[in-house]
Amino acid sequence: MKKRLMRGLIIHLLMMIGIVVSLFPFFWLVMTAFKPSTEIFSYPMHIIPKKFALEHIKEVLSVMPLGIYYLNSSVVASVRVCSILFFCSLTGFVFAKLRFPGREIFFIIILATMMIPFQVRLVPLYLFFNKLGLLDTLRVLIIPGLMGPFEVFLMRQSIEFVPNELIDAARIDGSSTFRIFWQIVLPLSKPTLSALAIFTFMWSWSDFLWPIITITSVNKRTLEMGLAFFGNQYYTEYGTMMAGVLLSIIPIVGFFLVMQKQFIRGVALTGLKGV
Amino acid sequence: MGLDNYLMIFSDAVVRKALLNTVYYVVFMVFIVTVLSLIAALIINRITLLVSFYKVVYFLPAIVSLVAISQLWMWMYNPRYGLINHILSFFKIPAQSWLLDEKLAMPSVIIMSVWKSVGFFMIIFLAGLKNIPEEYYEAAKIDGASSFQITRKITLPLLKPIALVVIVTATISSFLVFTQVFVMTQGGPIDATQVIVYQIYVQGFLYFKMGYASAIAYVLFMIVLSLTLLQLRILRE
Repeated sequence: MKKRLMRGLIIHLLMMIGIVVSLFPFFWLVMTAFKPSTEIFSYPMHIIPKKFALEHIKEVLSVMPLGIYYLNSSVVASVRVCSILFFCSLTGFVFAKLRFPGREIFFIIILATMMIPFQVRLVPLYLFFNKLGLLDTLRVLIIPGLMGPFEVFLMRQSIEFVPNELIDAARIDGSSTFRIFWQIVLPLSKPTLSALAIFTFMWSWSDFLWPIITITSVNKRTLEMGLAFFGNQYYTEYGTMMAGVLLSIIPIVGFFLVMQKQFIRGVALTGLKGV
Repeated sequence: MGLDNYLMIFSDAVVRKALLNTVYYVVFMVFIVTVLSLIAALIINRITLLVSFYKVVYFLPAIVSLVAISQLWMWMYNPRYGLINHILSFFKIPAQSWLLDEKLAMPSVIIMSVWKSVGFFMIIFLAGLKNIPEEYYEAAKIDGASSFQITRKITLPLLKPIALVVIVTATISSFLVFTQVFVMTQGGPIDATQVIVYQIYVQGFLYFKMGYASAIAYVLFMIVLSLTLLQLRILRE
């Protein structure tokens, strides 16, 4: 019995060390953001500020157009999520439940495109959108993300589990194919859809390389871009830089804490697309 | 045109360094992340108290934006006022230059990336662990196996498929590393943290040598493609 207790204690101790390692950087972040610059650059160092300072937060709010950045990122992410949820589930449905010549071949082609990482398509994609004159617009951020092979794959795998009897019964009742999709398949796919929604939203939100090369106007920047350039500008003013970081992560962290279960479930389901 | 770009790659020392650095990053990153996340998952799988709390906290770094984390760690790595050196001073370890040190820059980037990703892969391993039927454990316990033996002889072998998927996924996504380098080091110091995608960016969008950038991208594609096909081959067994 005692051995069990000892083991349990050691295990929890190890876990606690992990907790500290995971959280301490964030703690340091908050401390720095609210520490007056005189204290940040003082020797010897101390972690907790002696005087609580709002100067950095105020600086960030007056210099960084956070509202616009948030708006841009949100618009792009939302449109992409809606598009993916609708089109990829529709496509997945087609591949899972409808029969047509060449179905297998088409699916394999779609899967094959999954093997081409975005970074490899970077230059041609850029030149393509340049020709279309869409550079430096929100559309150039949205359009490449309107559909994806991985999402189609995911939905197809999930929809395959819908019992064929349900679909056949609906057909006998005279239901059109789209109605079958809309009223039977979709409601049954809710867990996968919600995981997909979260995953797509986060993926779009954290997109960095593409916006960096396609967006040049300040007011079209996404939050990630804005934060990166802001940090660049305030390179030596760490208090302000950290305040910027803090203000940019609070909403997502809040969102995560509220929807923890869905997030974690979503990762287990879809997570293997990429880190 | 044509093959000139590819020949340029072989003679360009920076791009060659980028290829090497990326492999260095991938090898260490994948190894460390896989081991740590596996251990964390194995431990969490055994406890019943505070499980959700641990999961959420460990996963948290994974959902915070990479740019934000890069900036935060850049500050943590600050040689004079940063957290890391501050903590090391308590252990009487001398302050290091981290991101400014040619030898330590890449390990610093790796450590930060590991920190961010462990929770993510831990969740994936946990999902795999949950798929192992209880009966296996029960049968082993009846046979009197110690928990260490159970882990070695039952859990780990059954985790092989998931572990393989984790390793290949982590490998492929590690080859695409970019943001950390852009924010923290811009490839320096002295090209110590140059990576493939960063070179694609620099050559294509700072120097506007699009053809050259495409050639580099193609090399990257060949690498990733072989890894993907390797994964398919292994999974099929």
